[in-house]
Amino acid sequence: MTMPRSPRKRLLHLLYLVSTLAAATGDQSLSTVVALGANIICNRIPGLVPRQRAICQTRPDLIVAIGEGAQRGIDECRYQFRHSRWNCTGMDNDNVFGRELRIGSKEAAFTYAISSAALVHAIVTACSQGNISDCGCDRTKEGDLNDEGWKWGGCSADVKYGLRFCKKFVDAREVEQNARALMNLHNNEAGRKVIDQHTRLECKCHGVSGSCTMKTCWITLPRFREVGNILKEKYHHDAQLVEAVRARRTRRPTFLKLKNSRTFEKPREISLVYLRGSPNYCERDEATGSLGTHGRRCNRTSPYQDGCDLMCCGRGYNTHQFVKTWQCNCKFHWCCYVKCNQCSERTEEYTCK
Amino acid sequence: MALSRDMIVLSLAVVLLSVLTAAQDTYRCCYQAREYPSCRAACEQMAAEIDHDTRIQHVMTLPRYCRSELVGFWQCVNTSVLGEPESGGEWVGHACCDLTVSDLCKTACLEASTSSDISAISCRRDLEPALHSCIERNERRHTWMGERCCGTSVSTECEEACSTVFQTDSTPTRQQRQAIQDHCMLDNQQVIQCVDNYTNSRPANNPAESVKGIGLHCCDQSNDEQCQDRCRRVLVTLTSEQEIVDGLIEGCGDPLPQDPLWQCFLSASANNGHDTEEVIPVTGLDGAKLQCCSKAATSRCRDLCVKLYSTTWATSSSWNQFYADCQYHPSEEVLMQCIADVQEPCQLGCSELNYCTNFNNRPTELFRSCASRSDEDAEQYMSDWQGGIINMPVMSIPVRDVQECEPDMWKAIACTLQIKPCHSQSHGNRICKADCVNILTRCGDQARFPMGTTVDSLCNALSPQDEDDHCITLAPYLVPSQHMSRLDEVTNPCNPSPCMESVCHVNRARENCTGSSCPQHICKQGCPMGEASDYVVASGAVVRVPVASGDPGCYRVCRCGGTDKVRDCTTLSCIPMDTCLVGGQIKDHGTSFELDCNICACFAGELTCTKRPCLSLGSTEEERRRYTGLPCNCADQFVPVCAHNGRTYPSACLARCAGLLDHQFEFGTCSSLHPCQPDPCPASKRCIPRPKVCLNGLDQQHCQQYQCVPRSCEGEEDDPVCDVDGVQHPNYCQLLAAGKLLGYHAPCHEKACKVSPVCGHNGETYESNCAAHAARVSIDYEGPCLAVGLRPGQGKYPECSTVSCPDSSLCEGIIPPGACCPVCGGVLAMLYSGWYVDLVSRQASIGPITVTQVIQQLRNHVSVPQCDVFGYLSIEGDIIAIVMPVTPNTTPLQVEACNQEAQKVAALINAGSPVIVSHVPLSFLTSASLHLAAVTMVSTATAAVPSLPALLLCTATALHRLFLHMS
Repeated sequence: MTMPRSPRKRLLHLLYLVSTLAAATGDQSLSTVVALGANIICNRIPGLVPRQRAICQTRPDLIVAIGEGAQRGIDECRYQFRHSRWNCTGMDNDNVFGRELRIGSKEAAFTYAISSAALVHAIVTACSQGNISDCGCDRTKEGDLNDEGWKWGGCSADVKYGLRFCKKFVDAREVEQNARALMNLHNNEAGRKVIDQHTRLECKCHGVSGSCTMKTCWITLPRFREVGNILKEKYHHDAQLVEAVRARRTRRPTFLKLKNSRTFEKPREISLVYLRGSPNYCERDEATGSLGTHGRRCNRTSPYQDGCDLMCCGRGYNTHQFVKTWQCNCKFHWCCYVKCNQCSERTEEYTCK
Repeated sequence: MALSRDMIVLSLAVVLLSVLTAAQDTYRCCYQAREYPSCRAACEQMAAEIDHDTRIQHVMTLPRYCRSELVGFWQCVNTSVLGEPESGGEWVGHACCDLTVSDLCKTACLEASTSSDISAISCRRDLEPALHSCIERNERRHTWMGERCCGTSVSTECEEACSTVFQTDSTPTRQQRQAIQDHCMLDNQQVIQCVDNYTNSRPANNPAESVKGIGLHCCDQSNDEQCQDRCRRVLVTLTSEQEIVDGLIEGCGDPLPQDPLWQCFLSASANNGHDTEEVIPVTGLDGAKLQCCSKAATSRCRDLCVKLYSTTWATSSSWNQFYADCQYHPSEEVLMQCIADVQEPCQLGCSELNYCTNFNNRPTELFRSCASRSDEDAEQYMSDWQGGIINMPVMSIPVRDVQECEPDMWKAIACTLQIKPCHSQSHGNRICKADCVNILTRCGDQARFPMGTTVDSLCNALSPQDEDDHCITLAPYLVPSQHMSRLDEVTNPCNPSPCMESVCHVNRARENCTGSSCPQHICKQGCPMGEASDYVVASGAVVRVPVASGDPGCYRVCRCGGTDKVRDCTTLSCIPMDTCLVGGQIKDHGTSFELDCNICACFAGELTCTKRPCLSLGSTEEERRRYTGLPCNCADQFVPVCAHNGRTYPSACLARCAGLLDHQFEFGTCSSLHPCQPDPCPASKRCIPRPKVCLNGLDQQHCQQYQCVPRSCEGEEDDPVCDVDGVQHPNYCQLLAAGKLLGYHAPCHEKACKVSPVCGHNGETYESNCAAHAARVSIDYEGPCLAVGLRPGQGKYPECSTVSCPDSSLCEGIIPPGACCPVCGGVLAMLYSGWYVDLVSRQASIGPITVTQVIQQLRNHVSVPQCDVFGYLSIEGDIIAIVMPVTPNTTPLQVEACNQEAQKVAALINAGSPVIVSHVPLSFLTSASLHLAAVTMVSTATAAVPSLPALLLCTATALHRLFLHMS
């Protein structure tokens, strides 16, 4: 079978191209393994949708920041809920942001919001440190003295870039068009809004003798613990139960409305939203994603959720007595070693049955 | 048949590819000869040959083009073309020779056969850390591993295969490992195991193996031991990307971007495409002030400083700590002054103030902050102080009413604190203790002083302790300036800077333009030295910034391309900040001192000194007899030689004294030798002479006095030159293309150029004074160069007596070294570190550093348009810069201003201010000593006609006394 003319010409062109390429590389060896390609790694990262993978492949430096953000979100979630029955450990390393919660509960709302906020935080921090190639300090915050007697200087956090990118990346995940997707999108935005609304203006006085006649100011991000606290507050007091509404007789839901209202009142943008109530997380239940509280540590004397009554859901608890040893009275001896004593004491630990 | 034709094409493709891959190795050899273009061209021709026999023939002709010193190149050719086994000779260290920085060391390495052969001189331990650690590792491993592993082998083939593995320090290649498998499979499992262990544990130290290198150090990032092991094994044994990633996932789990292991791989591929030397150009948040951190006296302040200026600029708590602990501490004066020199450098001249009028019209004094805002703040201070208490950050001082008790002095103090006059030598800003004590005794409210403080204790904290100098006295600021009528003699167009966000340079090309359309300054786009930095360098500048960690002595060289951050950085080896031992005393790195009559500077453990001969009281008769005043006591004759670094030395003796060997100079002045005859350029290119004096490169290859450009002159920059007929051409290439002769390298001046030979201060004869000025050399006397001048007072100078010097009644001039005639201005003698110039120009690939570059950079620091900077490399081994007035009718005030500018630059160089050392051509200067011309003519206008009230007072007092006497 004869090859038609054009493919042959194409082959020849390819040949020329390859040989000129090879000649042009000249001094470097014709090696294709220059570094472990981001392509290959990105294809194997679990839990990414194709659009996210594309972003990963073109911007591997951003993926590193995203990874840090995801970890920070997970850590903060675990910190905030360390004393509750649900302690955020459902979010284990199954995908980048932790395992998804099956039901649209308040806890799910919190995890989405905190992940989104953590991502913004991590990206903006990475920008300020110069780790990302196309963002840096916020260039719009420059200029002369304004009326209040200070001027922009230093490195203002480029929050807009972080918000934009986070929206692009995290919202890409919601490919389905159902109520849960709408809820996730709303909570992502709520998380981002927390960061946006809590940026701070910090100033440095450098007038004569350190007086504040001359000040240079810049925008910084809030500390992430602060963001976690704010979202936890919202979880307790500002979460709204919603349901999805279809508009115009299409099959797909298009917006959310408050569940218990007769008018089509939409939830506030800054609130968390959830679709159904949470289980009590006492027993293990695959359907709701609850891990139960068997084996959780509890505090015998506390009246709050981490007390053994509430934590163990009335099942009772085991007491475990052991001797705790640690190093104490450490002294430095010349030269050059440190000698410590071993202290020990009997303690008890309580775990739920 | 069409089918077979396609098959032929395909197979041809395959063959060509394989040949090309084979040819890659040979091409790599050609890269080794990259500094010798003729050799490289010949090599590339050879490598392009497909037929093996013709290739061998080409190899035979190579010695004609390639010098035998290129050991690495020849070895490579031998291996790749002739197929000799790549045994690096007997010694394991040979494999490390690629890691050397300087060529000298590389040659020494390749020729050595034991580690002691590499002398400490050619390969300094601290400059070649990679090399030395590699050698040590090799030798250790070779002896230990080699014996251990290969000693257990039974058969000779196995032993041979084993010893080839251990001969070099590179990772055993696939073939080597395969050979071991083959030969040792049967009885020597131990050997295989041993070699495997060696392979897996070997860290990557060959930068050519960058893949494995990056990968292996990423393996260490993982927290899990098993994962680390598996990771290393996978990287070393597998080669395709897919396989590697699969293996890693198997061994270490799914790639999550949180995991430090995968983060490492991802960031490595983010840096993909850059040289392993380049890093992301983060200069820290403020690369200029970061350099000051090494000057801190306490480690606490140094750490705070590094933290603040590298990454954590944004946290205000660090600022408060910094202020509390370091800003007002007297021990941290050097650090604070360094930071102030970057933020608000001392500049000449002050004018147009409304409140602090006594500070106006002072064109020859230095101030940090002569601006209207400081003026207003001073006024604010005075009104604040009327409350009866002066609030300083470290203390509060109760005072009596400032409007009643010495108001003028209080006003002077308020203005001094805001406008900050600088002491001319040290650039200090604090008020003298005597003044402090004076005013506080008279006007301090001692009743309300805090318990236990006295005037003395307060002034101890506020003023410098040294009684003798470096403090600001208030007396001159109690009266208006004397220079009321001289506003246009000395101007300061860049102070205060009219350019926002860009650099202000004095417009020195004003000879061509006239009138009001000719601004005195130009605003140039530039790059800030960091995100939060105020210090901007002009576009096109090559700068040296500290590494982001702030380690002292470690720098990167970067370029400023446009208006963003500096980029294209390469990291230099760190300079060891070692001390020097001089005559039993230890001198710190970066200090300079006098040794007999010479000035010496200590830089990274090495001493550089000027080479003047010294006579002292203890000199013998013999020494006095041989003394001529010239370096090495050379005879005072003028028989010029041209050295390979482009400088003309007045005699061969002086050239040898400067360290040149006989084959490194030729007779005749450099301007009389034409670099383009014989034409060294290939036929397709044109030879353009580019005379320069290089600070490094006594090797002719590194200081080429010509350049080969394409015949069509394309790509040549706009660099106007003037031919002998007074016609201007866009660049030298076009001038030659038009067939004209060069007049000088500068735009054609209409009137000021007299085309007659002049002798420059550097001993070169130039065809016209414009040619000399265009080369940044000042003129000694008219006529061709005849003599080499001696230092005045150090001997007779018979030859200079035949020279007639231009008139200099304006001042008692200084005779620059090697010249005959005095000059009215400031003369700076700057020492530089030769080996550091070599290091930087090689590692940063910026070409030779020339004296003209140094002088051009210094020009940017002289902000008075009436003064200009000229300079040359002196016969004594230092760089001389002359700051002198260039106006047609020079006045004493202008000479004084130029003196002050010279002093300012000298102070900045001696303090190692980032303003100076950030610019690469100036970063090698280790010390500057200054000689100023003494202005003899006191300007008649300033001999003050006593003012009328004073006159009346005088007469009144006289009359009064007369009356008293009479009565």
